[in-house]
Amino acid sequence: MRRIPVTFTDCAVLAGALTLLAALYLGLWSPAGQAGSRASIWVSGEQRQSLDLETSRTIRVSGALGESVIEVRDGRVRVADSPGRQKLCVEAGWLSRSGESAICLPNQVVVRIESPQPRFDTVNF
Amino acid sequence: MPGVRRSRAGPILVVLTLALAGCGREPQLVDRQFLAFGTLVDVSVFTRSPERAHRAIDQVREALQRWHETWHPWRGEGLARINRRLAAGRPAELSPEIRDMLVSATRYHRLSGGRFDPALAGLVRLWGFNGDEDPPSRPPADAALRDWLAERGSVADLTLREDRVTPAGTGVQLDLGGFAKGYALDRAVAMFQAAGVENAIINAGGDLRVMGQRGGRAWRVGIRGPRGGGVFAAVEAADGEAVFTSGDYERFFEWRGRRYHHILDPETGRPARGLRSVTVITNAGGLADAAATALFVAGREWPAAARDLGLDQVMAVTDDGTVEVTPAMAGRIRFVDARPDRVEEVSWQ
Amino acid sequence: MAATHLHATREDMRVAYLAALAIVIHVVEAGLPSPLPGIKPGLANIVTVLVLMCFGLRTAAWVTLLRVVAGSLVVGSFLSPTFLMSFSGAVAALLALAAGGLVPGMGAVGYSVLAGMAHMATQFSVAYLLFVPHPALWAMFPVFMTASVGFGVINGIIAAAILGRINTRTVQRPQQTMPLSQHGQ
Repeated sequence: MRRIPVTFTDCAVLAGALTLLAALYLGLWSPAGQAGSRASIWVSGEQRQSLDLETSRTIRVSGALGESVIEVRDGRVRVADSPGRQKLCVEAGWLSRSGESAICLPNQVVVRIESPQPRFDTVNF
Repeated sequence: MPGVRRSRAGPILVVLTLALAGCGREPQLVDRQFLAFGTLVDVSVFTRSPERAHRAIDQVREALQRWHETWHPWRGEGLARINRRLAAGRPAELSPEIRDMLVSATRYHRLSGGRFDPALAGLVRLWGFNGDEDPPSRPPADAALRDWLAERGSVADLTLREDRVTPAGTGVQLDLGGFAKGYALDRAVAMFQAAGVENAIINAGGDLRVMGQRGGRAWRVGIRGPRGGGVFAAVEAADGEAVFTSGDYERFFEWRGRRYHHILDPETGRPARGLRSVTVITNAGGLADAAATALFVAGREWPAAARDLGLDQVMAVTDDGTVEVTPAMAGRIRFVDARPDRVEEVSWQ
Repeated sequence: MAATHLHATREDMRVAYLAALAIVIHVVEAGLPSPLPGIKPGLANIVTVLVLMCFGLRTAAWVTLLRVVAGSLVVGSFLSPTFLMSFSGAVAALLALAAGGLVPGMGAVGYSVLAGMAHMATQFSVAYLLFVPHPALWAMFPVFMTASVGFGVINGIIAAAILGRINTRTVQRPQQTMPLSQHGQ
């Protein structure tokens, strides 16, 4: 049996390659999926903030009637609470795809998912 | 090896071509949002001249906000003044815009077999779905509904002669809610055309009109499902198309475990049953808006109503979650992620 | 063409011979069915790695570029987007090989894996930019890269085995570890 020459450097390259592959799967197949997605928060038609969806947090935005509570977790965002009786924006639930939005009309607060290359140019509903 | 030396020009050529393709002023996306028509209006313009786009959007925003005021059924001095005169049984003068709308709306009323009716202002007010504020928490008393049904009129009871409308009685007041938004988008598109804006989407609270393309490809429109869960279907919209959806989730309240939404059936005076949403694609916003309402009111009978209105691209989600599509719609709609459990192609020829 | 006087050196002959070999592999492989579009074993890379280790980077570069250009002429894809993908992939692979040569002790498997990954990553990016600039495409990227590493290892082992034979037969040639210095001008 002839020995196949595999050097230490070969093994190091292979280890590096496997590490890179693991990172790729983790990075591109994580639940958030679309890397670089951000949530923009608009108040009265003006953009106030842009949140990256990787960092979980809860923020409060003051709108026309009071405070809307916006929660970011696991690459998604939702309006947890907002003044107004219907709470349609709270009902919209978690948003994660680009172009999706939650609109709190009474409080004039809008949360929308942006992404560098959105899947949709606009959303009909 | 002469062949080889000559071929080396190939890659250089390719690289050069790619580099040159990047030159020139890149068209860009101008995206603006504002509140008008009691909803969020989102305008996207794909243009080489953002300054021009911003000017045109300012004009459109100003017009939409003005129209919303003048077309309000109870507030202000536009349609509200006409309604006050109609309520007194007296003729009213119409502005050219309202006259224009009334003519079209009357036609759609006829074509829809009365399912779309712009004369339901009294009923809408009875339910409390008028105005921009929150809807009520309980349905009106049965007696009140019976009274309304007993003396209800329709837009067909109005006689239009030149700029003057004459009522037959006192029971008809106009609410252009199921039509004004579509008409306004048609006007906004015309304003864009006049301003030299060629590629745009105007989306008013989910209902939209499309102009041109986005840099060599069609505008992509996602369609949100009626029970949350985000976008479930998508279409590529062509130049001039309107995509309108009427759904029971847009304005509603729940009372004693039942959902009461804002799309009222003129026949019963109550929220229409049978569907969760209807999406219509056609070439005019006014028609799309009126038709989405009429088809929603038609419920499971929507294919016949669509045929009468001359529509061939419709998708409906029934109250058991089945997605029904016309063949023309089936040919272009794409379901996102997973195809819904039940998709049925509906033919009506 | 009569005015052109060509003087073929020994190296020219060697490049032509090896390129011809690589082209045959390249063309045969282009005709093979593929489990997933875009995933190919890249057997021609075996030739590239062998040439690199026996004759140096310069010869390897010539053989590779000749293979891509002439191979595309044979298949009929010259200057098409497919060619552009192939070409950019090959250039990236050569750059990876050059970089790999700077690390002492690099063997056939290491070179093959580096070249395969660079080739795939570049082709994928070019495909994304030219054909489908859709973010969902990146979900496929890890799969393609896994294939490139897998085939890189297999090709590397084949190259190493062939290299072992060459070395045992041509006893006068010492084991080569620094291919960049192998080819003297």
